[in-house]
Amino acid sequence: MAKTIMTADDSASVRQMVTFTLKQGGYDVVEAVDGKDALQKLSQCKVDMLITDLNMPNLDGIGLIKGARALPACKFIPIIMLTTESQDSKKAEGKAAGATGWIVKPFKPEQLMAVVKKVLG
Amino acid sequence: MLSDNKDGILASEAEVKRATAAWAASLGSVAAELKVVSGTTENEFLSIGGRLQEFYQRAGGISSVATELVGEVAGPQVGTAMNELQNILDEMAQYVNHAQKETDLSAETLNEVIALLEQVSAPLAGFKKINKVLRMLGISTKIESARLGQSAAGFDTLASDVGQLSIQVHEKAAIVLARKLDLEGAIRQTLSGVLTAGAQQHDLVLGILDRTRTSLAALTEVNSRCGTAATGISSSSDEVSRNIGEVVMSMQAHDIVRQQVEHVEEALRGLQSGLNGGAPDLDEIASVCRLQIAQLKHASSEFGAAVSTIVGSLHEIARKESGLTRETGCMAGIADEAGSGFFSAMQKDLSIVTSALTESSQANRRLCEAMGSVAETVREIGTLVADIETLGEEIKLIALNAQIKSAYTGDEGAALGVLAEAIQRLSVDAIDHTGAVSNALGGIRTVTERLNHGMTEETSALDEEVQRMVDTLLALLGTLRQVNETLRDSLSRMDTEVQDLSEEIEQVTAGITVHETTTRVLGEAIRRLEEIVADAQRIQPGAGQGVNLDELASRYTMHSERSIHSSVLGGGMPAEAGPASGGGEFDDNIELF
Repeated sequence: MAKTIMTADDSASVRQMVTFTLKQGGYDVVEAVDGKDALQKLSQCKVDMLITDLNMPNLDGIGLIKGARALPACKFIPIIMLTTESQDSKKAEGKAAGATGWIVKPFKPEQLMAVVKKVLG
Repeated sequence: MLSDNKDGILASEAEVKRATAAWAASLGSVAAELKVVSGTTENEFLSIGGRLQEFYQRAGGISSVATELVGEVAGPQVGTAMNELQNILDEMAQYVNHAQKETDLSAETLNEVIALLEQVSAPLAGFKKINKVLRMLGISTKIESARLGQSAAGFDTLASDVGQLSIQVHEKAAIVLARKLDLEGAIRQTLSGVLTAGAQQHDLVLGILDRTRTSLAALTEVNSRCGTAATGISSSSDEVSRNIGEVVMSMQAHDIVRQQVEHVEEALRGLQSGLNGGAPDLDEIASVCRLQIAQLKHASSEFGAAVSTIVGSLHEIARKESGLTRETGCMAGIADEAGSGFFSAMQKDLSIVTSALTESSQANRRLCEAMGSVAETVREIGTLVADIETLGEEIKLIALNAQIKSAYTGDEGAALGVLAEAIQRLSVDAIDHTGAVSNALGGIRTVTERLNHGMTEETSALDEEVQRMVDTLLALLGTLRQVNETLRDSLSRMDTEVQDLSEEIEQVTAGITVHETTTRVLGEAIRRLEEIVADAQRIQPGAGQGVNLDELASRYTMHSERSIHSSVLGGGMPAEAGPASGGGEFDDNIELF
């Protein structure tokens, strides 16, 4: 059975490319338009991994990670930040919130797949 | 703030007020246009992205067909057919050599038969002489018997017997001679046929053998190329994946540029708000505008490059797929210049081979039949010669009777005694001649039977061998025809797919205008911001240098924005690294905690 990965990004074109890449890799994908939407969907369905943007309306990536980690089903799932941001201070903030890793946009499909395979085992 | 302009004239407060009002209006207009462009261009990207999935799957499908096609040509079916073809060629070489040897042997045997028949000519001519002498002796015996009258009673019958024998010998010898001539003619005809058929068959089969070997070499070459082609297809698929990867990366440029443009818009709104609110700081106005100009130039350049990469990569996918179809077609040998396929040529050659082998088998059978006919004629002649031999024995007995009767007749029958001796000598001659003919016939019988026996066995074996080779060739033809049809179908499918894909990619790329709109809007924004900078610097020369805009910098979400900020305004920005190294396992933009 294919694993399910959630992509949370306020950019529809980025969500589209993440979904495209993950589906090519054989994963099922759930899309969320921002942190709030993502948290709501996480509480309703089980996902094996979360890939989230940092800067999003309503609830940003850091807030989403904190919220997700509070959910029992998401306590130990890999969470990757996928963002244009590359500042070390932001990375540290993400790490502290519970992020598993950080990818700076733009990503190459093979890079994303390599990270997904690595963290999902 | 009032300042000297370049002519050293103090700008009036009124002028500054008018200018700031115009700038505020311009900034508001530019910000509004930027907001529109950053908020409305995504749909076109989404539309392209929506087709990308489909293009990728279809490109993958084309590669699969190409792989399947290469697999078909390089696969076990063709490989087995090639091995069988090689075996058939070897067998054909053996067959041709064997057939040539048989032809030589047949010709040698038939020449031997002709020579033996020549040996029959002299004894047969002797029979003619015997017949003549017998007739004369019969007449002489009759005359002498008549002269002697009663004392030579019985010699009349003797004379009559001799006369009848003479007729029989003549008739038998004539038949033997006729048969001998018929046989000679038939043998010469057969010999000519055997030699001609042998030579034709030999040349034809050798010619086909050469062509087939060339075809096999070509097939081997094709087979070898398939290995390379498989690598090429794999490499082509990798390249298509790379192109898709480039598109995926470039598609993200929209989000990146949008953020950058939104930050510019926010900065311009902030500046506009400041202008509307109070005394303007021309240095700050010029600095903010210069910075946003740099940000917009970067955004415009990045956006243009991204769209260009998307269009180029999609075209490259179509081009690679077209190239793949062409290469696969050439590799399969179907799209040759003559328009006739490689496998079609193979089929034609193999059909000729089949005909030649069948013809060869038939020629062998005809030779066998001819030799059977020779043997039959020789047997017939042998019977006739045996008859003559019997006649010789009868002559001998008649001569003995004549001698006995002549002895009873006494001196008066001396002449008859002489005739009896002559008849007796004639019987010896007749026996000698029949012996000579029999010997020659025995020789002919031996060689024809030897040849006929060999031929019967060989023809039967060759028939089976030829049939087997024909069956194998037909099976090969079937296999190759099937491969050919599969290749044609696959190539046809590939051609259609590639053509459709290319047309659709062309349609999609031709419809991409988002970069034109964006470049135009950003270009116009840059132009208007440059006007503001120029205006500000006219009012206050040197404005726009070295103002601290850290508040603006705090809004940045990208390394590129910070770099631009730093390069435009100098060292006002805190030093900040770009994407950190991923520690070797991943690229620099990836870090796992």
